[in-house]
Amino acid sequence: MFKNNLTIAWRNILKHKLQTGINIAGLAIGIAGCLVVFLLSKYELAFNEKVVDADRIYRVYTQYNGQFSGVNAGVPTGVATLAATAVEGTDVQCLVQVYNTSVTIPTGQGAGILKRLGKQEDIVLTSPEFFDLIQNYEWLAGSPRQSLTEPYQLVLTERKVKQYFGVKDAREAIGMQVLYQDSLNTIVAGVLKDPDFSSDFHFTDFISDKTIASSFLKDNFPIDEWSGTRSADQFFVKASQGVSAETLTGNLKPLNDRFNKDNEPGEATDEFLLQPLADLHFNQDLGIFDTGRRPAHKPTLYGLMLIAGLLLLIAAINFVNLATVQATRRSKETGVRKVIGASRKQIAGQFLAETFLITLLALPVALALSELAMRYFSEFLPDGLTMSVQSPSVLAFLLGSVVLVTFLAGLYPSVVMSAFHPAFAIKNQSQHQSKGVGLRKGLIVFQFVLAQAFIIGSLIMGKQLNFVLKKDLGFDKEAIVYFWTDRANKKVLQEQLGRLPEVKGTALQNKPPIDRGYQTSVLEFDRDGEHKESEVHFRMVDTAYIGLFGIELLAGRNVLPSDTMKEVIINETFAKDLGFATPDEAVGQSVSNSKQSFPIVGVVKDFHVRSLHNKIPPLVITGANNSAYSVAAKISSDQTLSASLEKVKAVWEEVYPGKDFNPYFLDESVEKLYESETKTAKLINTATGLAIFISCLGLFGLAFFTVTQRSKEISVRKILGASIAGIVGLLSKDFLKLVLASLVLATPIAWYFMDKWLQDFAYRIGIQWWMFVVAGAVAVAVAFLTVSFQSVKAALANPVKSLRSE
Amino acid sequence: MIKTVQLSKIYRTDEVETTALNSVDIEIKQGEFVSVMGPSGCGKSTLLNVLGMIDSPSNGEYFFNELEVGGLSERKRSDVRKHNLGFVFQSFNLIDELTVFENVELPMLYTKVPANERKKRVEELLEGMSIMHRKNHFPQQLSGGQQQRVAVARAVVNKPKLILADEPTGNLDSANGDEVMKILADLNSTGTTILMVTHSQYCAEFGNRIIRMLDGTVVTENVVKRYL
Repeated sequence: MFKNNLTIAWRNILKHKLQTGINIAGLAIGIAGCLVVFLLSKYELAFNEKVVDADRIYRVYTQYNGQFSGVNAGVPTGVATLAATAVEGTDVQCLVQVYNTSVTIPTGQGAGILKRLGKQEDIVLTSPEFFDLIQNYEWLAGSPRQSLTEPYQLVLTERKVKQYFGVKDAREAIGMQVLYQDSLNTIVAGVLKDPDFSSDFHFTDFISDKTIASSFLKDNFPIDEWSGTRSADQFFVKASQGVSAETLTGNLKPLNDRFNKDNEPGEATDEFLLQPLADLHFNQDLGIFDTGRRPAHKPTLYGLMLIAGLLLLIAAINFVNLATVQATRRSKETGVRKVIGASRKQIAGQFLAETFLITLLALPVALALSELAMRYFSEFLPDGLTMSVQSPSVLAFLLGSVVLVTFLAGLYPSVVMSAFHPAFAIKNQSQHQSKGVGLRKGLIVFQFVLAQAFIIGSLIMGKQLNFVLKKDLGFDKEAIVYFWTDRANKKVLQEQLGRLPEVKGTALQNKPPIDRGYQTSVLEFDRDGEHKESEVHFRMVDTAYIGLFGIELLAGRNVLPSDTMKEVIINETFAKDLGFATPDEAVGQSVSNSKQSFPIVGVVKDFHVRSLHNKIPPLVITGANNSAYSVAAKISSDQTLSASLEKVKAVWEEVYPGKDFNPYFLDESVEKLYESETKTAKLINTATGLAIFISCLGLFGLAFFTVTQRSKEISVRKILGASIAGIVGLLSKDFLKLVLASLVLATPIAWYFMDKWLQDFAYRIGIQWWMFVVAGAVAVAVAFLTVSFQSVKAALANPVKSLRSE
Repeated sequence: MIKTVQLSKIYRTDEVETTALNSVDIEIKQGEFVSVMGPSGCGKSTLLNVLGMIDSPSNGEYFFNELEVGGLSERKRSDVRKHNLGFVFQSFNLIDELTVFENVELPMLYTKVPANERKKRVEELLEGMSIMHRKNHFPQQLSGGQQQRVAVARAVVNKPKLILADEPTGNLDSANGDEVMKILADLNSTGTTILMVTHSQYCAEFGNRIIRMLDGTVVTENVVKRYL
């Protein structure tokens, strides 16, 4: 029976190539989308899952409350010291201090250098307890208690050993030297097998934390310190068996008490809280470690799942539509089968077998498309993400999707067809005609609601991105390049760059006018007995800064040359916040911090200091050369950029021999602020294209069958004098009505979601009525083209032919 | 074998009610060859559908082998049908996607006949109908007469007790029509009961009794002359 079902299914597939092609194309796109999203979700959601005792491991982070509320993934290092005696209910406590720095491999003889590796990530200072916290590591040589207890001891992973020393057997590295930051001389005392579990603990170089006290590191890594919190100093605990997160949070009270010891009465208390390990990979506010790796964004993952699911649904709808419209053609076959003894179950089974076969045929196409999609979207996908068809989870996913799609797409048609009354079916009279038509219309409307919502979405995203990238930010961002320097020689670099004819101007800065990161401080202002405190952004610069970036001075003068903060220029927003009616009024007044008062010497026109997600905040520009570690240069447009940059690079190498040349272009930095939005827009544009494509495939198929079914009517109309345009109109009208109806439904849905998306921007475009009109026009035009291909063919056909065949 | 008591069939749409069968009482014995005649729309095909259990009566009783089948569920009717009845239609109703062999084999798949037995029976029948050489062809590749022979083969492959034929020669020329009628007569001579709807007096007289219908009722029943 099954063989017979498959045989007939196969022959039907071959016979109806158009329908088969449409179904395979749609389903393959849908399945490919789902597969890629499945791989991505599986990859991201599996993070830290395999860590032993994952459910008992927590990161302790700092929560600031009150006026300047916020979080910091790190803790003051004093927390680790105090917790050892004061916090109960833990099996392991461990401080992990990220130390990203340059690595040098000496030859081991004299001062010879084997390799200079520049700045490396994933280096940490920690204690043997780290390996009690994360027990998954396998040791090739050494052990936690032998290899990480003495100063200058170093544990490396196998991969790093190979990179540093090029030895075949990683164990040979024991006793070899690695220099960090040019002069921290460490000795390899242990080697770990490369971790085979997926976790955020990507560390490759573990330096014994005992090294801090006996080396220059103690200047940068203060021990038992309570005054500052760096996100690079992270504290982990493993709760004892049976101790809940609530209990353990309560146990942190001694830490909170110590931290808030010097608070003024009534001041909000800051606190330490626990973040479960399972949240580590996903928390956008806390981040992962102090490295370039960014947490996965769960809402984006869910959004992707939704989009992939919708694409598959649109494809399944095509299947249902094409199958039901064909039900009439298949009704004779169904009737005959019933008459000679087939049960409903057997008939339904046969149609499901057909759907199964088509879905199966879509699989190889889907796999090929997934490969393509993974290349096209490589910027979205984490580096470690790969697809292997042999992997059990991919096989299980494919099997699951075939079963799901078979039922999703095949169930309704098979139920409808198996319910045919044999006496009617055998005469090709379907009794479900009118019901089928209603359903088909509903499904087309559903498809086009989605397609048009996508069109509106990508239109609005495109407009908003264009707006944020083209908006006048209040400063000049073209042809400006900047570098981060160390404190030494920044003036030398600035002077030498200034002498190049290719450089039109230079300035010292703590940051360019706009930047992802920010530095704020509280300034006070007193006038007429009123005291005001404001959180203010800072630009610590030299006198050339304002001119270099073309920032407009509205009142007063530029800052005078100074090494430390003595006077300030404020922006319009700050002036208004302080209650000045005009910029001129502010000049001559003073703001202060707890130690010192600073005269306001000028007011600049507002410019954007962060991405357009944020409102322009109160800002202070102050002359403070000592705090400005970055050199900015405006490149002349007389020569090509690359030629000028070569000259700049030569100067850099002269001033900083052996240091990496990393120029940042301001216009690129601005674009980078909207990296995630640009990626989202790319995704939505692709989804829009695919949604329109699959929907139109379905429409094309339906138009084909409708035209076939109505061929007699068309012929009679032509014989009676109908024009070609009239017939095309007649056949297209019904479809276009549905597309227009779906615009009505898509409008509020798209408006709701896009309005939400735009709310994330402090500066944004308004949603305009014409955007919906354009979306509707695009959908109508595409649908009309799709349908008219068939209807024009029908209108041009010889009417005698179809009447004779009747 | 067949007995109906006041059998009626009414078709209702939103606006129109059509009485296709109006209190029909007939009886057909095992081994008979009964022809049903009458003008178009008189209810012949409806009677065939109801007696063939592919449609249910609106009123009255229908006994098949003394079992009341009019009120059975679709599933039960389908069960009775596949073991007892064979159908031959005017337009052959072969499945276009299946070959001659597969078309004839199909009813046996539903009655779960083992594969080797199926092959044996199909080949015997196709041999008997002289179309064995076309067993791997598809219906569209055959002439009308050949298609109807395949349809007859399919109707008898499960050795039904009753064959229902709805104008089996309606789409055939006279030579092919004759051949099909001879096959039916032969089947009848080996004990198969046949109920055939036809417009043709010539074909009707292959049977031993003719029932004439008008407007959903049986008007006359005559025994064919040669059996008088």
